[in-house]
Amino acid sequence: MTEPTSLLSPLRREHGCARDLLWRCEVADEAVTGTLSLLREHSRPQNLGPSLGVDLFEVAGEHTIVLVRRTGRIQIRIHGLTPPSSRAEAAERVAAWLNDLVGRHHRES
Amino acid sequence: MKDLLDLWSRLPEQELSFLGDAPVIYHCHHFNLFLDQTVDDALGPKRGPQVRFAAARDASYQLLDSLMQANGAQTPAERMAIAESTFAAMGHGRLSIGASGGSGKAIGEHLHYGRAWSEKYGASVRRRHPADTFAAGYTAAAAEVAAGLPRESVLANEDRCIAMRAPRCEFSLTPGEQAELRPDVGVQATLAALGDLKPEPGLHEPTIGAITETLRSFLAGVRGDQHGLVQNFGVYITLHLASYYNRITYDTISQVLSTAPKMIDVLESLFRESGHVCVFNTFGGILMSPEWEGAIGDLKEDPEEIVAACLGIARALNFGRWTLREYVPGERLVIDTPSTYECPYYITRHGTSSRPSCYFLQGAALAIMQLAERVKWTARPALTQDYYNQLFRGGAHWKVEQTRCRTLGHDRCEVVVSRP
Repeated sequence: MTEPTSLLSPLRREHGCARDLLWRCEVADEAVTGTLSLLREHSRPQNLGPSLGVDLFEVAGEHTIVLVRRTGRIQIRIHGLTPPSSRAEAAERVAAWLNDLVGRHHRES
Repeated sequence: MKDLLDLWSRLPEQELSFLGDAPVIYHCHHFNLFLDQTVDDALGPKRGPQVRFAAARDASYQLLDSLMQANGAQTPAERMAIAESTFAAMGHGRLSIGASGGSGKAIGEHLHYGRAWSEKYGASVRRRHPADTFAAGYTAAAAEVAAGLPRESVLANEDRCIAMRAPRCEFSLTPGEQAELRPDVGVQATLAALGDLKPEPGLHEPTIGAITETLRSFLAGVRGDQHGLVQNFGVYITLHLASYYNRITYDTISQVLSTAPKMIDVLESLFRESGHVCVFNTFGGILMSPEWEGAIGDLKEDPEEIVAACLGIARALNFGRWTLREYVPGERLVIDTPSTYECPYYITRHGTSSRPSCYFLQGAALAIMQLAERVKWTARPALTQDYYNQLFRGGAHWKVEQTRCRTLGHDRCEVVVSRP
């Protein structure tokens, strides 16, 4: 598993309707707003009303990061056509990208 | 082509929805595979797919014919393009149909049933017959509508299927004899079947209504991605044709009643189980999704809250205006609705019934009681097959009885869940 920054908890599996498609980590309370801004800047926000308290972003082609503003929960959704044997690796890559993004921003600010 | 939202209508008092003139609902692959398998188990590997193909072609024709009219599509090419893009937008995968005069070929990529079957069972089971009968029926209907051929006159066979480890699905289309036509179950037929009954508010109505509206706002903008797949709440779902589900259910019931009536109780229990499968996987998945956590809140160990949440989910998925009438913790749950998505179909095509007919509602209500009473939501359980077996196959904790049904002439459908 990817080493987290102090702002992101370790990545772990979530049970989903298909094997290894859903993964989870949390971002620290103080970094939720910053992470939201970074994701808006560096990935493709998906259309959702601002009042729903949850934001979805398309990353690395077809995978999705979901961020719950209130709790800092992050769900990484690996696209369903990713071969089962590659899903864990794909989730690791997305998590590493996010970890790097948040960590770099934190160090620079 | 108009956006799907522009072709969408709703009967708000019934919480039933239509795409074009076709009643539509959301279901996930667990339910879809289970229902198809139930039909094939009851009717056998030849007759089962025949019934499912006829239902798919029939329901798809109604959808596509109404969409062509709404779009003013005139040429076969325009019409076929609408048929293909609608199929993908609904989350069924990608179809590329080349047909003329009822003959031709179609290619399917990432088709919902075949892909889902492969994902769920493919590593351990070798499938011996194709899985995408719904796509075959849809393809045949598209060929009919595009070329202006008589309804239910084109046959389609799935020659290769990804569930049988082919790289993609392939279909051949041939002209056939026109099948017996049945009345459409669209907006007008639904209104005629249900009359003008006004729903009576039940318990927790503001909460249930708010949940429904919130979930609808997540569902409203969702379309199939470039592969024709729809993921929402972390669950792969389809927007599907209620008449497909209803026709395969009631035709199977009719055939078993006439050929093996002693088996009817088993068959009805399997159709009820489709409701367990849906509630456990889809409702459970939604309850534990980040969308739920962000937009609605954290789950607590409050069974009544889970019941209300489930009724909100059911309405958002277009299952009907499921209403909480009574809940006694640990003892009893009463849900009623002015209609299910099952009743308008049954009344329009079969008339009145001698037995309650809302199998999905019956099974779903029992499953809602299970989720409310037996699942520790704060522990965030994994909704695995083992856990499903433990909840639903580990002895009877509840029984369900449908005490009122529109198909019996009652003014609503009502189910009661209680201790056995």
